[in-house]
Amino acid sequence: MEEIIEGNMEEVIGKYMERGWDSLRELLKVENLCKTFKLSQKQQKSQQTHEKTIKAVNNLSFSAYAGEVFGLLGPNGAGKTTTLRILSTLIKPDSGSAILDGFDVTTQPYEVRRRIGFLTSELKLEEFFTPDYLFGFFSSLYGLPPDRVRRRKEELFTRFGVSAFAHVKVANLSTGMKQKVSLLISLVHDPDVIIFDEPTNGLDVLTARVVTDFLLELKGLGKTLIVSTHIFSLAEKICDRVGIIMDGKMRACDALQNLTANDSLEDTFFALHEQVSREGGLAQ
Amino acid sequence: MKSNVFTIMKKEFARFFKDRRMVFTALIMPGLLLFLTYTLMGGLMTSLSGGDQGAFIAHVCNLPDSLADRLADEEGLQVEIIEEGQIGRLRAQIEAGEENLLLVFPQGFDQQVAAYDAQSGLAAPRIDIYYNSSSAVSSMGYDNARAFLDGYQYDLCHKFEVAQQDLIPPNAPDYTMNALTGMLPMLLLMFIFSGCITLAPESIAGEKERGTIATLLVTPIKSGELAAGKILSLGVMALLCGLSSTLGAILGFDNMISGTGANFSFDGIGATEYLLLLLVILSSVLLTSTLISLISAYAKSVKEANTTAMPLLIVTLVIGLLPMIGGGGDNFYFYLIPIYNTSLGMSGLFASDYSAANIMISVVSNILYACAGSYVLAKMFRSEKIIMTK
Repeated sequence: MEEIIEGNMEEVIGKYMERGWDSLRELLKVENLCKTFKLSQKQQKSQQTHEKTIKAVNNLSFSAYAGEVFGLLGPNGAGKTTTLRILSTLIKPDSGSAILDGFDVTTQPYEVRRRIGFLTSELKLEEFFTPDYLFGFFSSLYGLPPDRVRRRKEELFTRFGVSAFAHVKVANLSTGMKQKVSLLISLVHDPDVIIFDEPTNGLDVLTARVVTDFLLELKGLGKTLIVSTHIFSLAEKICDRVGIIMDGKMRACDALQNLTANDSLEDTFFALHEQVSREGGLAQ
Repeated sequence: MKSNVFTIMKKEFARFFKDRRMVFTALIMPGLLLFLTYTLMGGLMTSLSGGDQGAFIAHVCNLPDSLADRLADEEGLQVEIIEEGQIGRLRAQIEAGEENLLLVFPQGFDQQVAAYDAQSGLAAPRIDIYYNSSSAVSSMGYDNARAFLDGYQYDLCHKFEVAQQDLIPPNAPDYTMNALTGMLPMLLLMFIFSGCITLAPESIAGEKERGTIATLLVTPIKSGELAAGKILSLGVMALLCGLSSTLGAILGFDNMISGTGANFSFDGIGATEYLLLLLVILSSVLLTSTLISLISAYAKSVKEANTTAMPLLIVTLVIGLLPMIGGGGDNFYFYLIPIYNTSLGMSGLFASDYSAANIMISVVSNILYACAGSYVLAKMFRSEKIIMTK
């Protein structure tokens, strides 16, 4: 693992040569992050285990640099969502640390929240309200001035084709349009770090394409993206570096081109999965 | 801090007031139903007392001269004289519910009464009253006729006279008013509580259930701001719902008791009492919305929140009735017990028998309990076990 990270630094330096000084800035540093959940009897039964707790995240460490797209790749239950929830301050880690733009997610959650946009399918918008109202409401919570809100709203609504539905209740929008609204609401404050948990999950191909293009556009704007996904093509398309998580542990973390030097990302992932399973590292 | 609290309050108000169905079911319907229920009850009471149905018609056969003037003087009674040949038809009509009352005097009733010797052992002259006990109006007519004839019977004997000497003091509320003011604390508590129960589970447990509260918690809003915004907006909306129910109940009460001849008014209550009452109600609303918010935050769903809050509503109703049983009105410590202090305070104010210091203690203690509850609610919003559990 150490070797991989060493190799990774070379990649970072390469990026610096390409993009400039800021790309060397370590915007997110996660060190030895651990999170354990208690299992209810029902969960014990469904997971066929007698263990009363489960380590969702187990000594996880990685970094993300300014302006890059970092992908967290892993099967269901690997710990991707838990990691992103910790980074977005929704839950607290048992141990370890995560420093985002100089602020600790555990002790300085409000500073972290000002700097991130978080989108996950689990976070919903109140369906009674319209996109227009919700945009104004969330802008108020970030304390944005009205003229900036107006400009930002126009920009994002036009970009995502939401303008025509601005005054339609969220309840009456299609799934794809709801996802678009959720996405633009998470970006009202124009954050530097954007955390997306499965950004194209459940979307039709057209909307998924719009979202993917927008992620690339954000990348072009120099935003830092932390994206969890299990869609290899998406990771290959947008990520600069990829961390592969299995059983809460980081099994590989490298630049995309290094991970795909010999095989496709999918083949690399399954080879790693097989290797970890053989070593008895994966829970049944 | 302040602006985020207002932002949350504005959103909660928008959620409530823009939802016409919710405004109707939570704000308008309870007051309207109470008004209609009490008005209908009043109508029923009036109908039972034969009040607003015009003159009550009593058919009389062989009306003696001695009673003709007295019967004519009876208020709300119209006498219709019939012949003996019509008795059978009228009996059938009373049985069918078409007519209400028939009095049949023996021919020469006055002479028979004058000649009657109670010591003779002979049967006394008999008056037959025909009525139908399945009809409320007919039964009422029978009671009135019976009372009238009993009075006449006493008059004939000249054994004694009855002079009514009512010792009731001036401005004292009547029995009906006493009962109503005794029930008012319980009713007000119930209205406030009902308002909170209608709104809080949807606002907090509902947001948890739908995953929208977590969306709020990834913004820079502090959990204390969210808790304060929720509690204050719920308090205002519960107050409006309580006000609607109270207005409906008061207007309905007025209609209800007008049939009994009593007046519904708070003549004994002045500006100071109204001000103290307002403070008691406001502090109680704050405390109640905090309590229901805590229950809603703990519950996993709206359904669970409603089910958990229901026993608390029943306890509140029982506590609201306790002052009617009496006791504790002067005890300082009782004004520190949440809900009971509100009930005691309101009861004392309605009866104009209160201590301003005790009322203020209950107001301040309610506000302190609400602040403590808000702190706990803010802690709950920070707890992943509470927020992320579905």
